[in-house]
Amino acid sequence: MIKEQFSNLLHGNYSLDPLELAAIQREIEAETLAIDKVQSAIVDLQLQLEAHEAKRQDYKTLLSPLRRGVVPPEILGEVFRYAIEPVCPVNRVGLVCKSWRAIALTTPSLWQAVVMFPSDAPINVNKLQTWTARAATLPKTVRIVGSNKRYRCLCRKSEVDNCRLAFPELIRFFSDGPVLDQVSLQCHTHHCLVRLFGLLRSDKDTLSRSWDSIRHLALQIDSWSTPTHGLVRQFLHNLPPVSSLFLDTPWLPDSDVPSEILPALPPLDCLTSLHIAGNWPNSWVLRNLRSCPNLEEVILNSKQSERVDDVWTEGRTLVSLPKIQVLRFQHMATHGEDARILGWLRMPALRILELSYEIPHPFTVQEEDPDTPGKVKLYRDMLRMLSGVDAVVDLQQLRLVHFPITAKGLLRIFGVLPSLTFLELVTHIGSDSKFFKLARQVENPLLPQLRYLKMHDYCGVFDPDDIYQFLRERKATATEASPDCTERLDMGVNPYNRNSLHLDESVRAMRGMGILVNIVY
Amino acid sequence: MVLLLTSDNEMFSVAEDVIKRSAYIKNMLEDVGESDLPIPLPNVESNVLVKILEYCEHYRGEPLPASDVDPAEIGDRSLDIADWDQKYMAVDQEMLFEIILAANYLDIKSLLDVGCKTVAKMMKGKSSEEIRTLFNIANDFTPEEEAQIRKENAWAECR
Repeated sequence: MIKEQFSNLLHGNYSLDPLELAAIQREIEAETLAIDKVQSAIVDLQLQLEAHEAKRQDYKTLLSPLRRGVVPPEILGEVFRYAIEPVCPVNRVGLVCKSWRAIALTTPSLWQAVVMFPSDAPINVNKLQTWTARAATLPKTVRIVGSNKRYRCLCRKSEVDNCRLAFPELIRFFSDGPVLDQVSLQCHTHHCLVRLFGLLRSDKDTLSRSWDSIRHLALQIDSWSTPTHGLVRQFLHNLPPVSSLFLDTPWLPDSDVPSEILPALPPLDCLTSLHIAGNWPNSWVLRNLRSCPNLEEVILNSKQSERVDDVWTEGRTLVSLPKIQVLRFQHMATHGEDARILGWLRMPALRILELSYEIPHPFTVQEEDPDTPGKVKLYRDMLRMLSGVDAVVDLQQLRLVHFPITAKGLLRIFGVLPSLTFLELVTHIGSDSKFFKLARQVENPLLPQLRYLKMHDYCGVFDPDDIYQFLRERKATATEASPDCTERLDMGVNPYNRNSLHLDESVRAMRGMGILVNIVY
Repeated sequence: MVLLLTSDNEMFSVAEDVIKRSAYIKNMLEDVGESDLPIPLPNVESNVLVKILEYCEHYRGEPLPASDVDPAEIGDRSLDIADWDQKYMAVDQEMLFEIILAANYLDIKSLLDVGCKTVAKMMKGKSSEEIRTLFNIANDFTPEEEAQIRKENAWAECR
């Protein structure tokens, strides 16, 4: 409130006389002074507030759970396990403070996986020993990357022992080092492996070698050292008795190399899992599978190359794999004949089969009916796989990716797989859209045990209404003796595709039949 | 119902199937049997127990994780945290560590795991200096010690 003598003036348009003007001017100056005083007090208080806040923060800092040491080392170790990079476990957390460093160095789980990268200097084996020792009794993984774009081993060009992978210290580590669970070796050329394995063989007198304790071994070769004759040199002959082996090689330099002279696996009775990435010829694959009779899982990754289906010369005998349960063919070239080995395998325990092809070229003529001579022989090979002594009798899961076959051919194949409970289909733009239409016309129930149908149909090949009609007829024709088992449908679709227009309607109808339907866009 | 007595003398009455997510309480109930006496929790304050019970209530009815599975053995380093857990863990740092300590004391493995992952996520991508600032930790290395450690680390050529 301003002074009373002036407040009345606010409500009228009275002209001020000079004395009044001067008095008001004095009042304005007085108020300005008062405002400045208050503002100055506010600044003082603000500074006091900030000072108190800073002090409070400092006291809080002292009470921080991490400073008070109330967080047990094993919990911090657990936090570190999630926070660190396996490549360099303590680089960040070990530099925070002394106690964190001590915890990091004494937490075995942080040291389970050691990765060594290439550099100008050879691999520091002392450090490798120190790191793996810190993992104490936990299973240990060692990954040695022998080369990259910057550092390449040139040992094949030199007689001097300057291999980045095969050098005496590392051989000693593999001889006298700790028990190792997993080892992964990636090298520039197979020449490095020839050297390494050669040195390991010469050191074989050592009892209970670290090398022989390896359970899982991965070998990755970036390139072949010489066009052809280098492959004659065996580099797989001195493998430890592993239970799982991953062999990743580049495309063979010459597809005409006779498979007999290609490096082969030794007999591996302990091997239960084999993963081969490369376009090794079919007869080579069969020969090596025969050396490993206890395999339970085999993955053959063709790396998009056409695997040569050369003649299986060894008496044309069938290869028996009595324990194999999972067989996966991955990244097959569309016109390759990689899966032809199915006809040569005896796999009575097989439960899971995957046939994954690369997406065919859009202008490639689609493979035709399996009955057509010279075209896809898969149907015939599958029939061989499913018939005779020790045939596959209980295949339960089938995954087909970018399958280069007509709907009619697909129906013929499904017709011989009555035990299937899970089917996964990944379509491509050239997939035959008539499959579900034709499937409804089949007289005998198709895939009578099918429980779970999974589809990745982002190209919109199939009409959801066709799928609904197919499933509806299965339900409609089911009897007490042969009930329909379908429980679940997962479908990846493209919402912008014309076939998705009445998707909601079909989904509602399928759910109405009691099927669990999941749609992923 | 199970009675729980916190360190600040607050009594909580909790449904048995809710608090049995705590292996510590579960074992105690199995060992002692039914009792009207409260279970003392000298390491847990009431405000922290409220948060712990919120977690147990949310997961009420869901199967308890197998106690014999050690994430260290299976090499699980995934930092994935469920949406609800992320929101639940959106608390100040002091409470976050109190939850972790209580989960450890009460032996609630899944909660301890989420807590550790949350702290690890806070550290992810940060330098040692930034981690010190984040958690109010003093650098007690001498410059010489720090230089020596950096030298030792350099050989690994992390990339």
